[in-house]
Amino acid sequence: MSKLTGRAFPFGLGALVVATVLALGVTAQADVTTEESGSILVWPKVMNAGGRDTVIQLANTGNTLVHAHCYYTNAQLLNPEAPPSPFNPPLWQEVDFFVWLTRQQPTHWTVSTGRPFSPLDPFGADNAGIDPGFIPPVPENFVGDLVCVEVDAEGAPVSGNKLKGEATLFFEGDGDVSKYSAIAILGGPNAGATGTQLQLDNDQYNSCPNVLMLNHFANGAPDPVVQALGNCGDGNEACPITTELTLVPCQRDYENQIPGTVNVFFEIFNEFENRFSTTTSVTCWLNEDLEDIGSGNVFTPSVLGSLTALTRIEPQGSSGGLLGVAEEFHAGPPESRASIAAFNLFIEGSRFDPGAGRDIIDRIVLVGE
Amino acid sequence: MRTMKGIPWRMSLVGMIAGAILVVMAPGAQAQLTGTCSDENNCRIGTDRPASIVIYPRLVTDTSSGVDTVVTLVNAGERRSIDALCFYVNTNGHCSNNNAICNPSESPTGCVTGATCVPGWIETDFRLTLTKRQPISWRLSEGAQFLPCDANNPEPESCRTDDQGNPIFNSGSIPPAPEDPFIGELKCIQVDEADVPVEFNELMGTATIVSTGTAPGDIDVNKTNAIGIQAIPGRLDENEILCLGGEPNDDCPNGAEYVGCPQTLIMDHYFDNALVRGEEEVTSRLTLVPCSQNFQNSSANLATRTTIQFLVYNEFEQRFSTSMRIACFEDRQISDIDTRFGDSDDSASIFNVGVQGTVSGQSRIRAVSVGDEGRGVLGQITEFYDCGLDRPCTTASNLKTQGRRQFGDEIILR
Repeated sequence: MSKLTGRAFPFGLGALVVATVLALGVTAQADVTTEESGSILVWPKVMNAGGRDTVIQLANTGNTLVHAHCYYTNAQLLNPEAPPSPFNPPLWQEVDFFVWLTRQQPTHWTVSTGRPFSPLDPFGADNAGIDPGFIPPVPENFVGDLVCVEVDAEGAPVSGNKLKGEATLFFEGDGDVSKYSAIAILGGPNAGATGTQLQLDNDQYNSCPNVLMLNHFANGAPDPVVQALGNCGDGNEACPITTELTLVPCQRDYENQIPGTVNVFFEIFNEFENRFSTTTSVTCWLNEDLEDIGSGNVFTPSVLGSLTALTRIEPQGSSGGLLGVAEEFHAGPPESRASIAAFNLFIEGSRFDPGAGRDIIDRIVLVGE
Repeated sequence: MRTMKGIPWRMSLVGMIAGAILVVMAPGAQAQLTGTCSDENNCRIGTDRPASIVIYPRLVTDTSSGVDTVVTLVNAGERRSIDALCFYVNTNGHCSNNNAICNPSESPTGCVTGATCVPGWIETDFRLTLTKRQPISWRLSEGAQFLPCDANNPEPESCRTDDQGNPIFNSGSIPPAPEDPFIGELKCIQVDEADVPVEFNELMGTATIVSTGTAPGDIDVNKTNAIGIQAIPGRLDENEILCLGGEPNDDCPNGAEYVGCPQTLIMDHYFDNALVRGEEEVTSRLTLVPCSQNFQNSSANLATRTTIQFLVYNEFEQRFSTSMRIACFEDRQISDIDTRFGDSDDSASIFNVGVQGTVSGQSRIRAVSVGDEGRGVLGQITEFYDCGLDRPCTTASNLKTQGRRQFGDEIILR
């Protein structure tokens, strides 16, 4: 047997070792979650517009004091009366504030009124409890998102993974209510290593998902329950179910007021495994009925041909990641009120996954001192 | 540069080739190809990613009252077809004298005086195949006699063909809920053609509960994602005992085959009878289902009672606690957890604004293990708002999770 000398043997062994390590340890499953607490919380759909208001719930799941630096992003159009266009872009105006929560403390506030700091709130009143700080109201016609980042007492980002939240959207008057869970991004051991520039790279913070999945009814399909058991008027045009999709880019620069932009590919599968597609672009905030996305008729029953569909929402090329929620509107006969249900999207993969050939790092740049 | 000759060069080439094979074949790499998890550290239980077990904790139908659930089940994967073995769990109680449907958790139960409401736990199973990326949906009260790509489906529709040009078919059918009214859960497990559980984590689903009446616009809807329990690649021993978390034991020689149930569920909620925004009065209903279930021996599910401990925090950081015992399914207004069923003493409940004094709260829910049995639970919360209509406006959301249980749970298939 020849004596194994020189570089060849260690090289081969090294290749084997490296490959083994790669094979066993690489899977990058994005840990954004709606189940666990995290160090960055995102509420993609916050509204004080169109007759709707939002109540934010935020809680500390740990046994120590927690601080958070929160940012409202107002995505209202420059001219709310006109349609969006390059000449009528979203404002992308941010307002930030700090909150602090004691051990296991829940808190809440209504975005239209905020939450003032007052120790005199009577027992059982809306703002009774330890006020988490002064939370400003949002302006009228506010549409956008809210992001809260866990920080230490000096405002530096930390990875405690102790924040969780929900949003409840109310219609004024005889309107309906819908609720979704805030999306938590888990922090890693090096969270805050680059100061106010947070990197979603599975090291500082977990990265955003590679694909979002929306499980939905064909847009405009009649509600099968209301058709069978309720009052649907005449014809199949009544009792339509429509879905409104909200998407926000993970990347954002609050310091320089630069929103993220993501080019998005939609891949839609109906119940017969037929495949359809469309595209759009998301800058700052997208909140659209499915029919208004890309070549929107691809979401309609006449094209899909089935009651339900699976839509895969995938950022394209070197675009960063996306987060989102959806709301379903179930209407009765024309002119009657709709009932609304909000729900979170499913996720798959990781936007930063070198093993899969993706090295896209989303960055959230906080406002400096 | 030295020229590599002879055995050392071949060794290095073999090493590289073997390494390449490992990268492709190892569970981690396979996970990258299908978008699933690779080990118990990154496999998850949750409502936002595909899994091998999906659980719909609360399904209801009562067609005489205009209530039904639209269930969707989706193959999120890109393989040609997958199989699912599903179980309806009917938790209706029945009166001892006339078998009428009743609710054993409530008082009065709905049975005439002298009759008792006997708790029930009856499973109905069915299986189906789903094609690549296929969603299917059905009304709980109707089921689906034919799936969309069923060759026997009398409604002519087109289904795709596979790479060899063969048409792709669904097989199986979905029964309606076994009773109407019905309340219970649905559990679907990804299996192969022989009903052996598989690890591919490709199922996901939603449940949309619609309540409607005869007046125009009389509609209420709430929607939740099914809870997914991911399988840990390489761990399944392909028998009828599905091991959720835990260490190796006689039933689970490989230890955890699926992610274990959470140590703690966290419920962010409004206290009952609080006025949210100072306007809408709200009450909440908590639904809990056990992680362990025995489909071989139905009566075992009723006999097992688990203690649930609650820690309740209000916005003053004050802490209260209570507990209750549950069997196979619990669906209860939160103010009735520590008081008698009904409204009369709700104001004395630690889940009520009358005691807590703040609108929102955070409750930590922990199931107590017995011996080496995990006894974990999963659940959801449904909120009922007085929105100025004859019918409350509802929302439903899933509970948050924290930690993993020390001892495992088991789902025993037939």
